[in-house]
Amino acid sequence: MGLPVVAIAESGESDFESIVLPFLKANCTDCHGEEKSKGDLRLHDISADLANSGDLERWQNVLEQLTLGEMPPEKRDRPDPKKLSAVIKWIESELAQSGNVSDLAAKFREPGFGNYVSHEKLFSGDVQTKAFSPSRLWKRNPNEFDYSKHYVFGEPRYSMFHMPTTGFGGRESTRKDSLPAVKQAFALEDKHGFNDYAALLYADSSTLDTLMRNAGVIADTCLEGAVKELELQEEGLTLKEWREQISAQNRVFTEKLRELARRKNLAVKNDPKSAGALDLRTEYTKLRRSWTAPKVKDTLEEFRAIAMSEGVPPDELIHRAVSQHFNNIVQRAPSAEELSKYVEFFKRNVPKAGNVEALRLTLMAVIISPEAVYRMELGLGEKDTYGRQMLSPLELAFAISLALTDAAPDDTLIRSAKEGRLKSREDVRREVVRLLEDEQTQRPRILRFFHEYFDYHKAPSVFKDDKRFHKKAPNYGPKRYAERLVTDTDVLVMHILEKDRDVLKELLTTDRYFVHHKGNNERAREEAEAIEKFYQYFKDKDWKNFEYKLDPGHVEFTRSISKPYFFKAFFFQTLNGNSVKFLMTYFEKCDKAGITPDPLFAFDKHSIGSAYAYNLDPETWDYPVEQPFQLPGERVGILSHPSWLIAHSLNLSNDPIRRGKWILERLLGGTVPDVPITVDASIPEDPHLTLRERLNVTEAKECWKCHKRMNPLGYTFESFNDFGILRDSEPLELLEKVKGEYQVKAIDARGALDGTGNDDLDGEIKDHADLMHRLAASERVRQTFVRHAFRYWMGRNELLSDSQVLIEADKAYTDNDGSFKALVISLLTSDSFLYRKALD
Amino acid sequence: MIYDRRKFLRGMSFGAGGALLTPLVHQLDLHAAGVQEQLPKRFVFIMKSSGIIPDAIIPPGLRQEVSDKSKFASASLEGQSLTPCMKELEPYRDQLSIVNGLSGKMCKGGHSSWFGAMGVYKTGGEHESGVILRATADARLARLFPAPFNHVGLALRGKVMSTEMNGTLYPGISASGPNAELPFQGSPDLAYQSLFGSAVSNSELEKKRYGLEENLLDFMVDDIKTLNQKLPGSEREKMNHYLNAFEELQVRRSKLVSMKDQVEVNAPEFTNKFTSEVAEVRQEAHCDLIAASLIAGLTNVATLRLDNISTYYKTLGLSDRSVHGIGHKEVSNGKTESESRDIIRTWHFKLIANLARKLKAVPEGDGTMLDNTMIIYMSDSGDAHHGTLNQWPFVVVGGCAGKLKLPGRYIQYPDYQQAGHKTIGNWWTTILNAYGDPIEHFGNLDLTLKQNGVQQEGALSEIWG
Repeated sequence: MGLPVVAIAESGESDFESIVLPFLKANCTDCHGEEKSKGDLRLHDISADLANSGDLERWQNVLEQLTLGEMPPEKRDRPDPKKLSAVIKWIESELAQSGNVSDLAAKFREPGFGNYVSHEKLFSGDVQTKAFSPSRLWKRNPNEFDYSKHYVFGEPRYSMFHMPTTGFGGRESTRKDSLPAVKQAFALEDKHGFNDYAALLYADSSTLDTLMRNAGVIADTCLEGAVKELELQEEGLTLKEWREQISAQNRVFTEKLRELARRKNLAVKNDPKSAGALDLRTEYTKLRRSWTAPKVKDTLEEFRAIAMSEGVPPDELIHRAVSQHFNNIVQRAPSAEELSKYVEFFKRNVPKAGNVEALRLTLMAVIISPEAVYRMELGLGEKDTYGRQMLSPLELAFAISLALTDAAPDDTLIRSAKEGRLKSREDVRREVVRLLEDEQTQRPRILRFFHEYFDYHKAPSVFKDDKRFHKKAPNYGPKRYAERLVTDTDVLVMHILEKDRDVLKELLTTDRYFVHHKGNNERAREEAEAIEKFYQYFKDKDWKNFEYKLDPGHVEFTRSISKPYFFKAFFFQTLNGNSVKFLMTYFEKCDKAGITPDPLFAFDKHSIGSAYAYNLDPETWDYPVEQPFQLPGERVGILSHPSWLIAHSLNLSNDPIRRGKWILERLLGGTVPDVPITVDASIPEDPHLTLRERLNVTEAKECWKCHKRMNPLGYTFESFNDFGILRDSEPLELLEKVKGEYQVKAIDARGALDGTGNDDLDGEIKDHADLMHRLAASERVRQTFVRHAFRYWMGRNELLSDSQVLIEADKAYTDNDGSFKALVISLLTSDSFLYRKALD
Repeated sequence: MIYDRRKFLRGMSFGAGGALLTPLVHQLDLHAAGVQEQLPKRFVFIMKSSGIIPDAIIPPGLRQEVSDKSKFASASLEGQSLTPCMKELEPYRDQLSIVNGLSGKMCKGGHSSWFGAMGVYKTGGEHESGVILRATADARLARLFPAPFNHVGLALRGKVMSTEMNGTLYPGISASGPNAELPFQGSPDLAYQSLFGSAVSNSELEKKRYGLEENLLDFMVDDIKTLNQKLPGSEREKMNHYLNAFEELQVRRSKLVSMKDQVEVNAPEFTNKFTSEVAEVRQEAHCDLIAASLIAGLTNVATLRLDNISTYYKTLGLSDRSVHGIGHKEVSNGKTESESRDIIRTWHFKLIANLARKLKAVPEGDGTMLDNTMIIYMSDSGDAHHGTLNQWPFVVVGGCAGKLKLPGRYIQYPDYQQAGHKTIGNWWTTILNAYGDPIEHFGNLDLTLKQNGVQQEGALSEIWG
């Protein structure tokens, strides 16, 4: 039990008595003492014996409030900074000594806490410390895993890509999973904001569990050809001969199946319900399922040689096999030391296991090896005079490649590293620029930054009741189309990145959007022309009465006008009577209405709703072939995009608090503490009030302290409903409908801006448009954006020592007219990216 | 020999993830101290979301008797009919206990108390599970009753609002020590493989490989240790998490070898139940896995994150609203909140009754396995969808190994701020003490109660001692 503060003070002098106690008395106990206990907190009797008194949580609380500068409150005098930091130090060291974790140290490593590093200090220019990142292990990420699992067998890189690289951003392409038995071992949590922070992620028993299983599958697949070959040897067959046999068997089988299909189809055509037809159908299904031609993957020659060896294979063969596999898995050549380690392991197992099983174990060992789990960024280069070590050329090759792509370094990077051309900042710049400009390189990491920064890609995960969506399309709510909104936003982001001028300002204030467009006007024109040709071709034909099977001439014509990059090229390629009817009905309707058809509409019911989300009516919307274009009503930037609005909404309503919090944290660089435990954070239900009116509860004094930082920002988006549709009134959905309509109340979208540090910008806000224009003009907002880019690419929160790097990056961005590319290059050639320092 | 191994392991366990190894150390300690090995006690924690409404679990016949909420009440359940949603549990009435009235206001209220529910402290935000101050009660019990899998964590979904269902999930409710969250498995098929995979494989080749893989684990342990010497301190800790995973696997495998037959016999038949995407089927699959792994001796402690607020109970006819919507009093498929809650609760108790039935079918000592088991059904948001934590209801099924005066009783502690009021800190302390963890008080204190001079520490004398 803690002794009252006063009692302790009478005994001998400790740090607690000489430093902490006077501080608490001077700054805290007036409000948190015996008489008053604001926020249910009393400190007059807090025990000096921090860990054993049951006061641990109180001390954690004090530490947090002091460190974050939340207490003492603004209206009180600021405590003396020296005394303040002495108190903080005391609490921290007491915590550490007693074997407790400081809540706070952990929190500061979380992405959401980056803003607590003083913005003013970071950009003041006063901090001259040389920047570095800690030497670190970085757990591999899920994208890297998905990407690399396709070449664990040493297949050539990039062979899996079918989608052309579009633009500077590089959209992610989807590939078929060729190895479904190999499971994701490095999944990240599915939460808002940045997730891939080096300090927060570690491999645990579940990672190993998955990896062990994967390792078995991969090793087996690597060796299956050789294993089969050995098996066949006993029957006196070669693999080639066996394959020929199989394919002969397969020919016989296919012929048999075809013959049966013919009989079945005939019977079905005569009388589908006859017993004979039914029997034949059953027979057919049975036969079809009775056989699948066995397939065996060829084993790489390096592995095969070992499997086929009699007795222990020579070291040279083992070296070759290990090197090959190590390259496929860890994606670099093994060192001599590593080689001999695995060779020794292989040989140790041979006597008991035999060559094949010993090799299998060795392959598995590489797959679960530390470097297959953690990327090492230790800083193995030379030490400089500031005690920092640069990343070694090989470390740099990986760091650069994984900063922009999901792939291990390409051949050029590896060669540069090997040949001593990846040692300086200039070398790094050369490679970064090359990767950013290379036509063949996919750069999914760029667009992913904008996903994680804006969080608009979370729209599909917010559950919405489709019935509430739109009276004209009640069943076509975001459950169906939210993905489409995200894609539309992606196209917009890529378009802005392609122009690469005033990128942030454009993102925040553009009034031109893409809807059902791929961002390429030339191709869009081609597609519109093809649709027109299609319409003209069929218009005068009897398409309404077409049979399912079409005249080959029609099919040939349609194929001749189709291009693979059309939205629904598939329809054109596999045309039948039904699809012609389907398309022509829509095209005819458009013709009568005098509007250009939307290339997505006719085919994709999942997209109908998404037009309504933009306040477009698909019945009358004249699809603009040339995009971006101005939408009806006033939309300003990504935050007016339905995807962002839905991602930052609740199931049934807007979420001004979350929206305000996003702006506060991601644009203004501000902070807000967690909801205090004493708060029952729920909004009262009053059917006669708008959401904003009901949120009045947050204006109670103790709530408003924090809510005033968020609500006045978020309220400006009350001009939209929770599906992102512009509106001027709010339906009172809890009241009974009158004549089938909800009663409505006018919305109030006024707000206030505080925290740009610029008096011309801060102040009363008219609406969301006003807000966005002011934010886009703010230096603080721009710098906050730079801070976030820093976090994403360094995989950690900024420290004061990163000050110069941030100032440089901000300068690179502004000097180059708001070029995001310049910002990325600056960050990836900065000291924080290049240098490491070991911390204990 | 034992001493050396113990010293070695203890040295290991100073790493951040070292807590994972402590069960073994503890067992060796017991062994060294000459303590006789005891029959295992088993614990299943079933954590639902959206609260348990205290009134909804009071047997109708007792309502009158316990209506004075300012007083302590303890009544026998014998002869009482249970509230309709608990009908399935009536056959186990003599091993059923319902505990109301404990508070948990030292935890975070709202949608989830995260680690606080079984760790008794405030942590986390709306979406983040927060910082881990200590091992949660389930992990502490796992330490006392080690098994090849010290702790089996299964989950329908991850964090309280998340929609993730597959693979490893981190629901933020269980931890083995400071900063060491326990992983949960979301996919029943993967959990099946982890738990039973080694035993159900029968081919000579697989047996041989299983043996050979021991060499692999040894090799990896040596390899990582060598590497660790070159790493800076901060990162060594990170690598130690991975190293510990190997050590844990080694221990597990060596135990499993001798248990193969036992595990094989008890492995559930692998059906499409384990690959279903339907929430209710997955819950059943998880429960089957828990029953089978307890019976097979694979584990003594399992925690099941039964649902979260993003869950839809479509098969139960509640397809319109998620648990979150229902919690917010929205009408789902024409059902009111309380009707929907009843439907869900009835289903939950059916799952628990099935689990109890399976354990009761296994003889053990003078009775059955259920006698030595404690199935604890609770919510991470205590008493409501947005937990006020004024109350934190618990429903317990099982004989609790005769250690607690719980089976067959309805117990109600006086309301918050009333004389004799107790907290979940007392509750977990009681359970830990009863099963051999002598901790004086588990978790943080309620500051308001403390200021009011309420003595909060220690076990619940009405239940234990």
